[in-house]
Amino acid sequence: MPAFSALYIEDQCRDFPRVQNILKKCAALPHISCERYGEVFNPKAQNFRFQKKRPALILAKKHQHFVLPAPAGYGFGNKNSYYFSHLLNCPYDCRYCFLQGMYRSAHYVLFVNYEDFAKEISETIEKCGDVPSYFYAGYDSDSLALEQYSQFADYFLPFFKNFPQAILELRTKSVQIRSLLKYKATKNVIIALSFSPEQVSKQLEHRVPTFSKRIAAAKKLQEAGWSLALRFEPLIHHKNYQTDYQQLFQRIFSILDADKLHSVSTGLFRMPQTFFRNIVKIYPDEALFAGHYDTQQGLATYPKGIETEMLKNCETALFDYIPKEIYYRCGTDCETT
Amino acid sequence: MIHIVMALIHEALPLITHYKMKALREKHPFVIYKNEEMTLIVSGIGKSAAAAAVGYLQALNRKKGPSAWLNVGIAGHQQLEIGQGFIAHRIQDQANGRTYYPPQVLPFALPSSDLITVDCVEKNYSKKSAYDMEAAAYYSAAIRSSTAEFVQSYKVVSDNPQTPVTKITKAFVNTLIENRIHEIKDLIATLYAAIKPYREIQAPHPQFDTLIQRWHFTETQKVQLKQLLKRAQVLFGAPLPSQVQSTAHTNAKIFLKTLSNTLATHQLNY
Repeated sequence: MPAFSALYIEDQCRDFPRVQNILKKCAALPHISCERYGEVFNPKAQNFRFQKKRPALILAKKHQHFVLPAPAGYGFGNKNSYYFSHLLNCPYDCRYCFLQGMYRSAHYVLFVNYEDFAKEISETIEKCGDVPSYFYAGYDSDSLALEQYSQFADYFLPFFKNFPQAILELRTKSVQIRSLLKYKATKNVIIALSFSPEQVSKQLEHRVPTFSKRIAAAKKLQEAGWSLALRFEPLIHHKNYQTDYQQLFQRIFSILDADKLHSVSTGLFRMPQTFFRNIVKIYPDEALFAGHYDTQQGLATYPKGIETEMLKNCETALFDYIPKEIYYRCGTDCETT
Repeated sequence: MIHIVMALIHEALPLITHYKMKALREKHPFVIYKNEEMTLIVSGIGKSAAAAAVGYLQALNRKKGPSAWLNVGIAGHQQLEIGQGFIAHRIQDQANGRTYYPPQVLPFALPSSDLITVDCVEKNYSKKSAYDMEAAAYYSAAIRSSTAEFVQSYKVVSDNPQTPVTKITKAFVNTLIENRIHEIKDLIATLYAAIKPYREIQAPHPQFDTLIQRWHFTETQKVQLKQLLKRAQVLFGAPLPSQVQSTAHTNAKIFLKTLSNTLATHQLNY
């Protein structure tokens, strides 16, 4: 589990039972009061790279925008797609992640007023009526990696059980599945697991559990009846990518039952040019960013030819294992094939 | 490079002695001591003095790459015992309420405390906090030229409600700092260990100066050159690949194009 360097606590939420619980678990750390989390999280003169070595945990109360429309092309639901972020920043340190360029600070911000999130989620579901709605919980963080402190699954799994017409996607690289296994599998909850070829993972996905631990956890979840989804995002271009992704798919589908998967997606490496520039500044020695990137619609991307080739090759390999009906491309050109 | 900002010479003497620092010979508006790895400036008491001292060191060291900053001094405290040292994890300027949070991400292994910077000597100790007269101004000035993780404030408790501030003498202050020199040493060593690799990755490519002397580069081209060289250093190491090193390039534009094309065709290998 991550070791926090310190705990920052907004005065207004210090008395929350959820906060008191965390304070007890982290009694040995400095407990530092603040008025609003932005005082700690937002100042300019911070270095994401250094903070990532020992981030602090900031306990805060969210006041507005609990539920936001999902970005175009994100996720499997075309209409009524939303995301909500109870946690900012992720304990894993994946070098391709856009969070490095979006946030100035690597500290975790945990919004502890889950009840307010739940209220807005239920209002949103009601507005959608009988039309299914989709809620993505892993946009700004890993949904489960801080579960020991956040108890996010403990709160939201029972909550979403009351709304069978709404789908919740948890996205995680974590192997902390106890919080899921203690519940009976909830039909409208999807556990989305991101994978990269092992060679890529070793170089770029720091602190992420090994492939074998992750696939073993995935298998347990599937056997317990949980609906799994696979996310091959972002596709990382490199010399032997075709072979490496073929081997990855072969390994995964030799262990997981493809017939029971909810969905499978691929996504290209893309992020806003401003984020990309920020990341290059903090990681000037990272080979991933030293290659050639184009700009398409304000996004840093691989050259178009490489993108097209990668998608084509990876999709061809994937369709040996999965039907096209459960596949989608995640991104601005989202389409099912 | 580490810049140490201290209010009083008697606070500073233990560090000057320990690190064998020498006073700068030229005339400066502040007393400045130096060795190869650090500078120590004696600012005088108060916020204006501290901010001015930081600004002066920033100007003197403008082109010398990233630095770490450390404010060392004495402070009153509501609760801590005389002689105890601590890192400030929250610094508030009492006069205007502005609050700063020096990130505690480096492994200092020191106790930490709130710190309130006051304009007049604190006699009431009304909050569970330390009280000093420089830190808020020092911090707000130092983070203009450094990332906050490398801007820290360390204080030794000199007075509390049981032992009032009127008993502080030059010799007493000297002893307080001297008794904590081991903690200060460790703190400085930690800062140095963290800033050194940061300075190395920010350093320009070793061939940059040679190249800009070989051909005329416009200012825009120099920026492009720096970026391309950085990428080349990451992908190929130093020196540059042979096709780039070739003397066939007749001008900066052609050189930049060759370098850019070489980088564009490189594939990562995992």
